[in-house]
Amino acid sequence: MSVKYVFILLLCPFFLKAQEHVMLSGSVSDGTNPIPFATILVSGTTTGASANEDGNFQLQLQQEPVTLIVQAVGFKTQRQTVTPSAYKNSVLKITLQEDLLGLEEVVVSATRNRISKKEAPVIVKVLSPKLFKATQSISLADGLNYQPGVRVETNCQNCGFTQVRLNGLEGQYTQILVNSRPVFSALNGVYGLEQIPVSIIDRVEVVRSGGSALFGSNAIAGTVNIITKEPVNNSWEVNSNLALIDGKTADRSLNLNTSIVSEDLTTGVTLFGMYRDRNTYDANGDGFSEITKLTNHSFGTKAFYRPNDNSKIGLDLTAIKEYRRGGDRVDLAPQFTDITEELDHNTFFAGADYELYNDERTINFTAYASIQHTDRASYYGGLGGGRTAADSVAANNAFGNTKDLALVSGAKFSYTFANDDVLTSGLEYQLNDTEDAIPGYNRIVDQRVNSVGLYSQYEWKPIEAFTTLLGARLDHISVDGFYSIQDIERRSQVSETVLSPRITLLFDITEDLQFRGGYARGFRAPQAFNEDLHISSVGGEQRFAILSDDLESEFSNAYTASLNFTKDFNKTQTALLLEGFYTTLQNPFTLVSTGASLPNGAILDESRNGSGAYVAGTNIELTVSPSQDLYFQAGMTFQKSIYKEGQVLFESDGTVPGESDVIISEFTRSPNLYGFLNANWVMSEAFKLDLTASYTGSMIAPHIISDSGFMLLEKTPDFIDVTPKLTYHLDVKDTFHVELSTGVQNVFNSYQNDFDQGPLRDSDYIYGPNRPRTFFFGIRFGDF
Amino acid sequence: MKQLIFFLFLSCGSLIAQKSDQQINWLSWEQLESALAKKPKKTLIFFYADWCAYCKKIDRVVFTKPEVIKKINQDFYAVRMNAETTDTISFDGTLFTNPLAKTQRNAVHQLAALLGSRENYAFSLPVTLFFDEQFKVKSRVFEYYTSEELLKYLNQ
Repeated sequence: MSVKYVFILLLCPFFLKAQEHVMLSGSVSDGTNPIPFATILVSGTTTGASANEDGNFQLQLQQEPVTLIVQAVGFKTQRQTVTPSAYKNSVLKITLQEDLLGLEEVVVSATRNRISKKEAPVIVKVLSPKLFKATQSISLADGLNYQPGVRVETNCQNCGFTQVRLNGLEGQYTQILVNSRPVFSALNGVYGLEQIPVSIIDRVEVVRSGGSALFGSNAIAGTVNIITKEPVNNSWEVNSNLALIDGKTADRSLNLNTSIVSEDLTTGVTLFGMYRDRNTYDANGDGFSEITKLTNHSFGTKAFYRPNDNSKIGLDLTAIKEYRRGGDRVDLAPQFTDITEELDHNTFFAGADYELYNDERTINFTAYASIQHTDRASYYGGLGGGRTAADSVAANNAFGNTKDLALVSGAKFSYTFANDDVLTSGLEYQLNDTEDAIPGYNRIVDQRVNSVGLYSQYEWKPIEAFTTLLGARLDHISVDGFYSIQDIERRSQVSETVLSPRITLLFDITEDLQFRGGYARGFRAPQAFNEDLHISSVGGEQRFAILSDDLESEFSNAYTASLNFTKDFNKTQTALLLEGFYTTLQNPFTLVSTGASLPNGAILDESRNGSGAYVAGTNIELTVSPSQDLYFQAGMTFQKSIYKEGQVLFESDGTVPGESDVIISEFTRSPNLYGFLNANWVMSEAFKLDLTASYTGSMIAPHIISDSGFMLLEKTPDFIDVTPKLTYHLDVKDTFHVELSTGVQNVFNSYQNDFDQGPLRDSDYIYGPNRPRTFFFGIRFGDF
Repeated sequence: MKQLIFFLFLSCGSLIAQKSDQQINWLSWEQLESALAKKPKKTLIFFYADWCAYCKKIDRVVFTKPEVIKKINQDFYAVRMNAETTDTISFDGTLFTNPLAKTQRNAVHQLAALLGSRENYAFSLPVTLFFDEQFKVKSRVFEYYTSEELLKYLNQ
């Protein structure tokens, strides 16, 4: 009957009348089958057409050559330049490629605005929740290894301090952001990676090298941007995991997560909670921990309110209580043990943000403020293997307290011009006030860092195939720091203004091949960073770090160039990334051991301006997806990390025979070769198999072997950490799902086997995979 | 005889009405075609996909509101279709299939693409269509709506 009206209604727009123009006829297909209803747009105009159900379309055009943008759901956007007159008597055939690899994903980290990953002038790597699940990650620290150039390492057997290294540079060169905001203070940087539960993470965006300097002049190695979930539906989820480290040490966690969003989507809230309890793990039976005891309670909320379609107010609150302890006899009070590092964190985060658009969505204004406060009780000490009255007095004086306040607030404005160029400008203020006191050691870190950053960036697209970002950041930073340990006192009084320029460009060589290049300048003002706040133990004494006198600012120049090749071979999709990086450091802050130079015989490390250095290397990443159910990704990094002149790591006072200065030409703890593999296989509706692996090549690890602080430079073996995981999924009903999973982390038990033993051990002598062979069982259920 | 049929028809209607307090009486395309042939009525068609969070929200929050269920069951034939189904659907003497599903993820079914595509925009979900008694499209909605907004469309 009258159903035909529908067809007529929909076909109407295609019967456009041609006069002095050319009527271009075309067809859109995937090579064999027509693609119905693709959208064809003429670049730079508002003219366009839709293909009909047979993939055919007609378009009225001028005589001049035009660029057509062809889009269809599930296919990659295609651009094609055509001369309309050439198709007077023939049909323009357009072939679209399927988009299996998620190339059209939307990312924010590249330019601080939401743009498609493929159009981003810097390489943005996205870690999805799928990967965190495949690796059975409980915290962010577990899942970050699976990108080229990224490596997470544990630095202390006593306290489990972890850091993320990008392109071989230490953790302090990487800026960690939550929802694009630098809420991590120097103190949070020490243990923060283990305090973020993966259940609240929507995705993690990693930008390597300094291409993203708009996020901060200290983002020299790159940025790790944690984007939290934005709910639409009401949902709830319970997730519990039991892991047995080496088959004996329990690590259990419970995650709760629920979201409520109103029918009109104007208000919503997510509540989350995490409990984790891990016992100490002792790898060599000496009674001292290799993996720290960890008890974490976190809960928080994230709420939003949309007064209208163009604005949004967000509010988030998180409370974290984390206890960690390592050393020996963890059931005794710390002062009765040989070595204990005990930390009790009480952290509170609060943040608010406001976002506003105009009706045309060409103007975006964002304002935000967040505050973080941490109260920390610490114990770094112990009897150190002795049992004298003096040892006991020292052990009783190792308690300390830390207060840390971090404040971030800023505003950002962006305007999109009619030709798609974008101007982004913003202002950001940061305050970080840290007060760390251990009266028994006369140890004080009292530091206040104020910084104001003004940034501006212009995204210029003169032609279709070329995009460039021109930007700069002007930072004014002032540091007021007082540092003492025993009889040594140091100060840092800095007030300086630095301009950090940045340029990146993207050029589409062909449809399949993209070139990106970039330069960024960065700097860091002298101050105590996360590593300088960390205390380890060696020879039964503590090992402290302090800033040296007359520290100068550190500058860096980062260059990158990359080729990104994406091509389909029939139904198999492949992507290959080849990226070269070269970063030079001028006056890098380097910890130099002055040996057991403190009056009580403890070792003191000084943060000094080290020898000029550079890191240079190549990241290679290959992704292959033969079908919807199979996905493989592998990446490798080859790099060199070189001090231009010999860098002193240990200064000998000459009193111990056979010990001299330790000088090195390569970075320590930085392998020249490392990589990962990630494979997923959806076997059926119910079963899924994941296989992930990370490879850590041989590196040089400093190993302190005498009371004087003298160190050996050990060459470590290489490691391959493989995790298979099997998941069973059951849809009980539409609103209730159950997922059971099991697997083995580090199935080949590739783990360090030369840990020091006893109370005199060097607690920093730890390298390689974060855990030995670990069996895990997980259950997840809820309405998700 | 005529009265008997009329009576049967009424009682059928009341049966549907009783059920209607629980949920919308969704029809298949084949059922819609025969229903339209018997008794012309306004029609609502809703396209969704498994991955579409806003579609799920409409299903769970909007289509479960008693006033929405009542209005739709009283005055409309309603069809709810997965836009990515691979079923062959017969409607108006034509067979509609999903040929793209052989080569593509999340392939849109011919029928959904026909009714839910727009000029200058890629196909997006959710899509809701409102037809009049002559089965002519009155309006197409390409976004999420609340039950209040839906009732406005239904009363147009």
